Amino acid sequence: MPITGAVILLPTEEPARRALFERLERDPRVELGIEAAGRLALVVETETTRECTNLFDELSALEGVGAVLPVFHDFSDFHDARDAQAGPSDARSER
Amino acid sequence: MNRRDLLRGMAMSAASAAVLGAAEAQRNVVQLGTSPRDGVSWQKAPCRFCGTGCHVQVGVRDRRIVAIQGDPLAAVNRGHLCVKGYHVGLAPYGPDRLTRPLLRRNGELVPITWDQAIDVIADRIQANPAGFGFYGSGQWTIPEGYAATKFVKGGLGTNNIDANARLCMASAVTSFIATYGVDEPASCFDDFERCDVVICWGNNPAEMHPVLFSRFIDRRSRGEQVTLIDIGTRRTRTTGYAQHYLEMKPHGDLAIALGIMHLLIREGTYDRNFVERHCAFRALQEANPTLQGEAIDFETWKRRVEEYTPERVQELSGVPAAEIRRLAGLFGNRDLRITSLWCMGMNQHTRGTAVNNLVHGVHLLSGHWGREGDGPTSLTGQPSACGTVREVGTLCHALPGGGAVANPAHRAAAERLWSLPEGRISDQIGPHTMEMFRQFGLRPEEGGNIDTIWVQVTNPGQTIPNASEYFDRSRTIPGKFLIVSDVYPTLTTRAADLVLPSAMWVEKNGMFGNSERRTQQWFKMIDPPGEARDDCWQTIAVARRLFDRGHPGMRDAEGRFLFHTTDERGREVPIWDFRRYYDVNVDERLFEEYRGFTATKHKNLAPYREYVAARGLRWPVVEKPDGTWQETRYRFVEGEDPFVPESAGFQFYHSTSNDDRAQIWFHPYEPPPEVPDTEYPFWLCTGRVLEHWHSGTMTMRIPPLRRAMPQAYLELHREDAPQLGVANGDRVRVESRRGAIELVAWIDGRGQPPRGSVFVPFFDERLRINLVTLHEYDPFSKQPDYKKCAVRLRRVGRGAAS
Ligand code: SF4
Repeated sequence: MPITGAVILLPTEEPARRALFERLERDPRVELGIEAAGRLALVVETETTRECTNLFDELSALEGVGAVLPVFHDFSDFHDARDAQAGPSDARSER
Repeated sequence: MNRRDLLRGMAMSAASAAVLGAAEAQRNVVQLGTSPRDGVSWQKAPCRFCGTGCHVQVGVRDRRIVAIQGDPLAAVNRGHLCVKGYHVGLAPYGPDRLTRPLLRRNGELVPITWDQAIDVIADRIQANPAGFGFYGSGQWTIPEGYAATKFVKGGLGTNNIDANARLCMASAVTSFIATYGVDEPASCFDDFERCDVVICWGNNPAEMHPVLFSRFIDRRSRGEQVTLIDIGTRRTRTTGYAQHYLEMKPHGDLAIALGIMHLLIREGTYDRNFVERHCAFRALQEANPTLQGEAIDFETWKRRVEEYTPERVQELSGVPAAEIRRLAGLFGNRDLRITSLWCMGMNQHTRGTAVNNLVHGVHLLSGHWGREGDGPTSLTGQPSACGTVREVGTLCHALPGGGAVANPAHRAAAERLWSLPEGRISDQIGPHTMEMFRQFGLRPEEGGNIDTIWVQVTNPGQTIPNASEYFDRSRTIPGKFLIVSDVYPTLTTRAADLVLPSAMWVEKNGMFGNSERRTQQWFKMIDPPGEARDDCWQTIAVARRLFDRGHPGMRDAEGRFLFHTTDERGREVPIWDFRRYYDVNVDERLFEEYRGFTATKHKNLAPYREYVAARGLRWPVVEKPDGTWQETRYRFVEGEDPFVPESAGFQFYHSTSNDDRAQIWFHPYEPPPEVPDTEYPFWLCTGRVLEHWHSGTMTMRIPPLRRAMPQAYLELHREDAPQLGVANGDRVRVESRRGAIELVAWIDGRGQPPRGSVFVPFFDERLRINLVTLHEYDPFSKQPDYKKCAVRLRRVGRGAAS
């Protein structure tokens, strides 16, 4: 499953901040990290990359959120899936 | 620790580093090199996509990219990425990479060997050297562009080379030259940390330069007050962040800039001291105007801006007079720091040079110039539009390092540096992009002198305006031969006679130069698929084939091969043989040679090794007495620019008036060349979207990006839609005097054009909006206007939602 690290530029207004944190804390895919200078670190683990970018789109649209910026993306699964589709000999020749 | 936990730890560590800033990043980031824990090797590279030039760290295992991290040590992005950068590691892995050279025989593209392909190109060039044109790109790496320029200008002795950056930033180039005597922004991205006001002139950085834009938004998240003013012809994502949105009529920007100048003079709020010490005034000649123009005095200049009262500007631009006064009030306040930002909106403009000049003029006149956060900054769309096209000079009038083929001293210097016989470089400016493709689409007896074009790293079949006339036409004329080097099939490769498979991004060594004069370097990390090969090698291999056949241009004055390269023991390395290409670092060799050109216009570059160590350096880069190399943030500014002497304050040392002054231009307002009428009643504007990069060749093959934005669409105003009988999702025919396509309507979509105006993105090859756009271009920059032409609309089918 793709693993993504990201930074959220937080809302400055307290109600918007609270709403964002509530949204994040009830999402099992999200692990929250440190917060400093209006930024919050998080890690997201989703079934697909698309699911992750959908989540970022949803978070970006929340009141007061400045931006959701990805910083780390592991997608080794992508190759595994392609190898599985291609079969062992094809996968080797692709390398 | 299992692999999943390890990855989660790395992801959190990267996010923490980006939150905490550079010092923490030093301790916290993935270390470059191979991790013993999971066998992933990490190396740095700039992102492949836009001109922001974010740095990434690329994680490679088993010779495949498996992870991407924003580089927290990079000043440009401090670890942050946008959705395209997040997916950049997938760009090489589309299912249909080009892997073999293909030659069209009996209408079909059939595989041939590289050797045959090189022969075909050499044959075409030898048959008619003057009819050969090279069409490159702001995605060429610096060494690729340099090799192409040397091949054409130093080898073939023509100037038949141009690049797609002509279509995106040529007006910025002509304006920088007209204003400061030398190209490229004097300021840099540090402005975002310090400005009080950002003015976007027809620019949508929230989608087009998202990481750069986030630097400004980040300040707001920290509670700082920064005002954003969005001047545009359509509401965009950027508008959502703006305190003030000024909706203008197409070409209204000319009038707005003139209106600000008018008020600065009338209110006496211009910066008299700055203007008297550092500026001169200039306008176009009445007859035969040139980019140089003619000097005028301040009184004449003032008289010319007199008519641009706020009320007159409101009439011309549609922006209320009160807003023009607000803008002039901001510029009249020297306690503020104001950054003007622009990109395609001002450049793709039939008066692009003029409007660029005027915005520089507003900043110069008001003294909002040369302080951190206080100046005009133009952006580029491509990762190396600056580094390659503008600096290396892959344009039909240019020579490396800011030289011009029309200048005998520059030609002589280039001949010296390239060890060429005197007179090899032609003084005849070659055909610019629009002219090259116009000639390619004409028969010889109609003046179609270009009969062969070699396209590298770009997709003119999709991006040239009025494409049926300027691209498709050539495909019907016998004897016209199109060669295309690319990584994926495109509209251009499908129309080609010879297709060459190219290596991309980290499949080869490379260097880019971003929008803030930052030169960046990376090493090859993975192998290209099949027989795909570096574009630079392709150029050198053709040059060698011509050399072997006795072409005199491929020899220097001593009879050696134009790209003669030796190993450390002085023995020639046959870099034209791909098996030997990486025996030496060809990039380094070419870059070190290119450095020799860069001092002429004070665009000095450091040795290659400095870029290996750095996350890019902004030129001019000069050596300090202690042997370290120092980059420059602000040009022409004392204390920042090493070429400005003490106590000068500011010095425009390439001044066109030869007195160290910058030029404040007058240009009148002029209407667009085509405006809506009863037959074609709507304005059409075209542009980009967040998810896709330019013609979508790479991003449409990255499944999450393709799913996020699967096809092009037509943005339409909610009040225009019912009058046309159109509902969301309906199919609409968009037709101009040049062509037509059908698109799905999107009302209240991502962007919102005003009444009487529609917007269509150009990323989708299946919906080729450039069949509709206009080919008219700026008289100086020759950059076409993709932002405005007249169209009519007709519903042709009901959508699912109707
Ligand atoms: S902003 Fe541009 S350079 Fe930065 S990650 Fe996005 S596409 Fe790449």
